[in-house]
Amino acid sequence: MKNWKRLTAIFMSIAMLGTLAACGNGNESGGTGDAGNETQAGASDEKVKIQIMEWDSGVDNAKTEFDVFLNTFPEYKDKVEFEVVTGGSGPIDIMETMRKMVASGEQEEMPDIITCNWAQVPEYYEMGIIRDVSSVYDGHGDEIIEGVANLMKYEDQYMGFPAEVKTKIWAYRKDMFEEAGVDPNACKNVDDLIEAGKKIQEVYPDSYIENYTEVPQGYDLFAYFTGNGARLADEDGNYICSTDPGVREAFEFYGKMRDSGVVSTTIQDFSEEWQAALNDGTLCSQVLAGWFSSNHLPNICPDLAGKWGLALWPEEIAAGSESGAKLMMVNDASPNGDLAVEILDKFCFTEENAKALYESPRGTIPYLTACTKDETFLAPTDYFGEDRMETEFKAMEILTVYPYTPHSSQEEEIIVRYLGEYLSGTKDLDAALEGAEEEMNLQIGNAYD
Amino acid sequence: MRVQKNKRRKKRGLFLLFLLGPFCILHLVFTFIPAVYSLVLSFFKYRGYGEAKFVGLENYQNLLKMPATWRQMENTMIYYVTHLIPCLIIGFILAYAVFCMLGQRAQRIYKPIFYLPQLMATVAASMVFGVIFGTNIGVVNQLLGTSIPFLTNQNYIKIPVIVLIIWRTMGWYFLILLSGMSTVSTDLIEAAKLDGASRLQQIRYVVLPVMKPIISFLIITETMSSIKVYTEPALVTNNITATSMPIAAAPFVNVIVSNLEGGQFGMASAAGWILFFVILVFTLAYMLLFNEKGGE
Repeated sequence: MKNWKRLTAIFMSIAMLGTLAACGNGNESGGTGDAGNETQAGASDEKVKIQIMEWDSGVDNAKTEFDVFLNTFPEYKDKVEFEVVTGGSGPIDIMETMRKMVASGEQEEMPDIITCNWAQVPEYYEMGIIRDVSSVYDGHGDEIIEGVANLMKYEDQYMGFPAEVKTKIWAYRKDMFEEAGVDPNACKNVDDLIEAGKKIQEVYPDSYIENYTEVPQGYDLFAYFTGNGARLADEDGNYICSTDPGVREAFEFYGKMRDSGVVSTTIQDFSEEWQAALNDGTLCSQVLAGWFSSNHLPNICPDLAGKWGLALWPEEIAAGSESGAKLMMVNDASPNGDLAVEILDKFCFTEENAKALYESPRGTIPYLTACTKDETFLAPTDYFGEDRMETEFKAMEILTVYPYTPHSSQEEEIIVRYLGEYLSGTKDLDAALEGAEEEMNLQIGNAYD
Repeated sequence: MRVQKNKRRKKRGLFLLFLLGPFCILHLVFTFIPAVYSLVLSFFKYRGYGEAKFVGLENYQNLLKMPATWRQMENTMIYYVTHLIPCLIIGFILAYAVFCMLGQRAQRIYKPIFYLPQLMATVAASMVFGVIFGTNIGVVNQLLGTSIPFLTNQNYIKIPVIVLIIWRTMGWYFLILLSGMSTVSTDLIEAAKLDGASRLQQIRYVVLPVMKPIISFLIITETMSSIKVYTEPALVTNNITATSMPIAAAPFVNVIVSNLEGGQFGMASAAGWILFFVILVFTLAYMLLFNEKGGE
């Protein structure tokens, strides 16, 4: 009995020590932290492993796109192997991982290519871990669409390559709009937008042109901000949301739209109900972004091919973008940095790959000036007809980005929460804006500090 | 003789070290040192890169000044109270019914049935509840013949979260209370019956006093975990693209999470320590309460 107890105790102790040892070996045996080591050790099969960190929903898309690249440039097949790893559910998770890796001095262990949304660019710039790719953009000059090239620049540095330019696009049900006699291209301002919604409801009483609930989406708000010049903080980093006319106007816009009755106040984006409503015509349009029409709509409503059209947002709020763009940035400490830049240059800025990507299941939009006149891209598509690239190219001409700061993720979280408070009636407009400003001051302090 | 005694003592000490050593090392490395580090960090402004700036108690002061902090603490308390009380009452009723009225064989069937929700992954359960409480196509609204916007209206948004928490934790309460009831001597119950005690009197004067240690254990452990609630409200009310959890549903842990996501490591640490003290106060209060009553 005594021996049995001792044996059990010894076994338990060995198991615990084993666990401790395994924890210590974590970086050598697996996980995302071993990118750099594996890259260099990849010499065994003489292929260089380029690791790309994506967020969950982008992993499969990136795999498809890099497969397309290898087929377009087969000379890389023997040299390079792409490994797409997930960094979490969104760009904020990736940012969090990078912060922790930088804090623990593991920059070399970070992936070769890091994806992010524009909102995170200022913080990556401040961290100083991203390679400046200005030489690539200098080399191409005006071959790249101007709006796109401008989007890749922050302060004095070109931060990366476009993975997805987030144009502001209004997707609408052509058949329903035509029947109601509404031309989205004729809408100049918010009042016209509401008027269009009312006309639709005369023919389709249960249909809405948008959906804004009390749980707002950050991408909706910031897309509006880019169109009216709103700022949460001034150039010195002082928070000014309670006095900035653009922020106030954006809040009023959501209130006005909801009060008008032309938007659904109960359907939440990306819910089961949203998908059902898009299919059955309860939602007859989405004043949203290019990614919605290219990535989501054809998948959510496959049976409605040919019935959806695309237009720019109403003229007065058409300019801007939905959070700028999604970028692919190169880790400055990556041992494969030069190769990564070379590949991304060809990936984004060669006509061969632009065509291959556009014709692939991804249908990725091109970023080259030459493509704007190329019949390959201007030809009508099955789903959106002629609207597809024509609208995208028009939207790219008026691309601007919100002046994000290194604290953007937190600013966005706070302002969206207070918009929710305003829309729910818990706070009036002044109280909501003052509350947001106070919270930013207490929680962040200075936007550039 | 003395040498032998010393040898035995030494052996015993070594064996004890062998038993406790690994745990102590793990605890030191993964709990104690990080805890001390986070306490130090809570007095700094630090983003994970660049210089850490000492700010004294500013992080704590700012957090306590923010109305959002108090709103989120209030939500946490609402989740805590609204699940603790029904779970205790219903869990006890179920356990009593199964223990006293259905016998051993039935217990074997009911135990896994009631405990099943606890085994279901929180993420999956939360997503299912998100669908069940949908406005137009949700099961609840269809059954009631209503269109209540449970997930998009700040007045109703806590309801699906509370229902989910109760559904998930009920089985745990049931199981613990049932095992607690097995410590009640049947002789005591029989004696109470002979004395003419009704069922309610049996519960009040026999079952509950004997089960006090189990009930106090249940309340204290549940308090510790419930005040840290995050996953259920985050997943039920916050779809994949939402920027922030609606304030009407966000629990206190959201303060920590949002500061971590925003790179405010100092502020996140300070919020963590505030939460620690809240849990500590509750735990000590319950321990005092139960000890005092136990001594009576």
